[in-house]
Amino acid sequence: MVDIISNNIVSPLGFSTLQNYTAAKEGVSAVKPFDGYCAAYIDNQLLNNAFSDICAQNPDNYTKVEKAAILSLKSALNNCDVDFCHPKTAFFFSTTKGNVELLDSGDFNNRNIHLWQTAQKISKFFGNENTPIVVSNACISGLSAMISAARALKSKRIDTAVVTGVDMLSKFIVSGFSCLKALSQNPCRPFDIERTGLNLGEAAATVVMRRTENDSKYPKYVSGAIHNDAYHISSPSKNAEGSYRSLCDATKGFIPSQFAFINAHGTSTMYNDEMESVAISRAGLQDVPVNSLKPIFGHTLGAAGLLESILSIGALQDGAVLPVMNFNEYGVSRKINIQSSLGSTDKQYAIKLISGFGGCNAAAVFKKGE
Amino acid sequence: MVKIAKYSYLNSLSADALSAVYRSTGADYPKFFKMDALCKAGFLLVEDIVRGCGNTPLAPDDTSVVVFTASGTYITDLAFETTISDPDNCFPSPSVFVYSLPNIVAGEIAIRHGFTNETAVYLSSNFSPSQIEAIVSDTLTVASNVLVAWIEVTSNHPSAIMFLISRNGNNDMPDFNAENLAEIYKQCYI
Repeated sequence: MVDIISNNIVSPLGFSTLQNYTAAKEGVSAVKPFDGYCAAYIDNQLLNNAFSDICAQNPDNYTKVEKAAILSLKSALNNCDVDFCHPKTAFFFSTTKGNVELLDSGDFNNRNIHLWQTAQKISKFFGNENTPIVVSNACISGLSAMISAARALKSKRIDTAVVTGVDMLSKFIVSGFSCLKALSQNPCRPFDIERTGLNLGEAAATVVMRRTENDSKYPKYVSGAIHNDAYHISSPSKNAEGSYRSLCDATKGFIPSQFAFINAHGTSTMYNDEMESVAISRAGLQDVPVNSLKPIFGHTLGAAGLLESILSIGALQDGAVLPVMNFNEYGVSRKINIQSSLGSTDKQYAIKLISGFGGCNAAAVFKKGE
Repeated sequence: MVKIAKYSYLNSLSADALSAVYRSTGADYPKFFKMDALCKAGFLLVEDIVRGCGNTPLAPDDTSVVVFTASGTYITDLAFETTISDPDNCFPSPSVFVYSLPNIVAGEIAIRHGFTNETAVYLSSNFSPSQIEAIVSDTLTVASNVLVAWIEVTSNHPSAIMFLISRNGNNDMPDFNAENLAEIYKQCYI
C-alpha cells in the first residue's frame, strides 16, 4: 500500500485542504452565475497576493495555472519532510489543457505552451531539475496520475511521488465545453432529474505519496484501475463498460459493506450521471452511498481526481459522508444510493470514481488513517 | 519474457502521406478522415501492428495503449483558437474541440480495436526510452500487451513510432529495455 502523507487544495474556497473541507461540509459553493453559464473561478487578486508571498522575484512571470500549482505544491511540501529534488522523488503533473490561456492572448510562441514545459517550469521553481512525468488523460488526469504514481512506488524505482493537478478556465476551455452544449446555466444538480449540464471550476491540488514500509498512521491509497470504454470519444458507454471494469478491478477482494461511500464523477450531465448509475449497480455497489462534489467546486478538470480524492479522504478521517448538494429528485435509471444530506460513517474505505473524454475511466480505493 | 514483439513507424506525417498510408491499409473506417494528425498517426501505426499479428490477435481486454508526445494537440489547439479569437465571428466547433485533448488518440485506437484495458497519454520533451521503459513496465502489471507510441506531429522532425511490448514474447525478439527502444528508433529516424 501507499501512504498519503500530505496534501493541499487551492480553490476559490480557500488555499488549504482544511478550508476546502470545511466549506464542502458546510455546503458552501464556489459556483457563481455568469453570462449564460455558471462556474467557480479563483479570485486573481487573492491568488496573486498568496503567490507573491512565496515568490519574491518576478511573480508576474508565472501564469495563473503555474501560480496555483506552485502554491499547492509548496503548501503540500511544507507539511511533510519530503525532499522534492531527491532523485528518488518523482513529480507527476496532471492537466487537461495547462497553459492554453496563452493562446487566448495570441502568445503562440510562448515557451511554456506545451504541457511538459509548464511542468518543468513548476519543478524548477523549487530548484528541481528532475524530469517531471506529465499525464494528460482528460478529466481522469488527476486520478490516473495518482494510479501511475502508486505503481511507480510499488516498482521501487522511486520512494516518494508528488502529484499535482491543475486547470484554469481559459476562454478556450469555456468555449469548448459551451459548444459541446455541456454547460448548465444553473448550479449543477448531479443525479437529479432536473440536471441540465455541468459547471466548470478552477483548482490546483497536490498529494504526496510514499510507499508504506511499516504500519503507519497515514491515510492510504489501496488500489486503482483505469479502463477504456472502447465506445465513443465524447460520450460514455451505454453499459458503462470502462467505469464498471475500473470499479471491479479497484474493489477486488472487498465486500460492498466495507465502503463508507463512492465519490462519483457526478458532473450533472445527462449522460455521465446515467452511465455512473449503470456502472455502480452493475458492480453490485448499489447500496453504497454515492456523492459528488461538483456543485461545490464545479468540474475542476485535471485537478478533479486529486481534489475529490483529498476531500474524500478528509471525509473518511472526519467520519462524514458528504451529500450531493442541490439534489432533489432522483434522475438516473438504475437504483443507486444517492447521499442527499450530510451523513456519518465509521467505515474505513471509500471509492473515487471518475470518467473523461476519450472513453477513459478510473476508480481508486482509499483507506482512512489512524 | 517481456519482449519488443513488433514495431511500426511512419516516414512522413503530412496530410497527404497519412491519407496514402490509410489507403494502403485497405481499412474501411471513414471516421479516419475526421481525426487530427496525432490520431491519424496513432491509428495507422496500430493498423500495421495488428495486421502483423495475423491469426494471433491482441486480446482486447489484455492490451493497453500508451502514447507519448511533446506537443500533443498543439496544431488542433491553434485550429480551435482561430474559431474563438474574434468575438464578432466566434464559431467554436465541438468536433475540433474534442480533438484538443491529447488522450483522444488513445481513445480512437481503443474504439477501433475494442481495447478495454488501460489507455494513457504522457507528455515529454522528446523521445525518452528510459521514461517509456519505466511507464510501460508499470503498465505491464495490468496488461500482457502494451502498444506504446511516440508521436510528434509538429516539430521540424516529425516522428511516429509504435512498439508492441509483450509479456509473452519469444527468444527471437529483442528484450524490452530502453537501449533496444533507442536502437530501433535510431534505425527508423536517424
